[in-house]
Amino acid sequence: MGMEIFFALINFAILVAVLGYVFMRSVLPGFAKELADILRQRFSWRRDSEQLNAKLQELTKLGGSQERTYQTLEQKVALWHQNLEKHHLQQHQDYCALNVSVHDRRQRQCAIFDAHKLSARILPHALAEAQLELYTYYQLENHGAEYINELVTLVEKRP
Amino acid sequence: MNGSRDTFSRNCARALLNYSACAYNPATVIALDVITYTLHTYKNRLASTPAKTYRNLLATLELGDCRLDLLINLLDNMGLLKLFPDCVSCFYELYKTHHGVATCSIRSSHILSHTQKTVFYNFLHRATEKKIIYTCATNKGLIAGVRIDSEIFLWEQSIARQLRAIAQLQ
Repeated sequence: MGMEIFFALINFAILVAVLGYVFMRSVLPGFAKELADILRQRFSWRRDSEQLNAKLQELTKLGGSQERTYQTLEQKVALWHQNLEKHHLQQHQDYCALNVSVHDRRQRQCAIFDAHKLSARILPHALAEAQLELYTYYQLENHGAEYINELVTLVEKRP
Repeated sequence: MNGSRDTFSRNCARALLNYSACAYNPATVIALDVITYTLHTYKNRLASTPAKTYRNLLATLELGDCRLDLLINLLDNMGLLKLFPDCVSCFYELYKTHHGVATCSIRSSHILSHTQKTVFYNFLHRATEKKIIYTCATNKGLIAGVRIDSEIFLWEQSIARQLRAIAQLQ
């Protein structure tokens, strides 16, 4: 009985050894390779993931910068719009002032022109009338000699 | 060409004035004024006038003192008698400058008395510091007043001037 158990154990041991050897020779390398593949793949994924993360961070930074640029640009555009409105307002005010000035000037010019027209009509007539009257007074009524006497007195007194 | 003619006439006139040493005489000034005016007025018509005519003119105006006959002889010999009016004009100008003479015309609206003329003469003499030779004429266009003009100045005090001033204010 004891021997049977002993031989059974030996058989079992040999079987285990054979199986182990077979396992070690044929199954284990394939398994190890598969494991290595799996591990490599996992590492690759991790690396990819890290790269992706880095890229994402870069993109996030870029997005932030762009956002800031956009905000700055938006502020600038808003400011430009504001300035443009101010400029338009100023232009409008200038235009109104100019219009008023032109209107005033035109009115003044019209007034001067009217005065000129009036004087152009009246003054020559008045001058001609005055000349006639003066001619009658000094030449025909003989007051010219008195005028010349006064003139001579004045000339005589001149230094 | 005109420049050289003017220079020639001026040089001839200066030489004649230095040579003749023509003294100051109001009658000479008037005669020179008359001959200058006549020659310049009829300059174009006198282009081919002979020397004899010019001599007769000088004799008529009694301008013997100025020895313009020498100028006529010189120009006639050179064939440049047409320059005689220019030479006489230059001579007259130089004569006036040399003797400090100014000619002017006094125009008045009414005839001036001798006293009045003297007053104007004194006034002109003071103003120009020259011997004055004047001619008088009446001009009713002045309405009332006197106008004195010469080569160097113009003085007018008349109603017509005041009316002109008013017209210019327009």
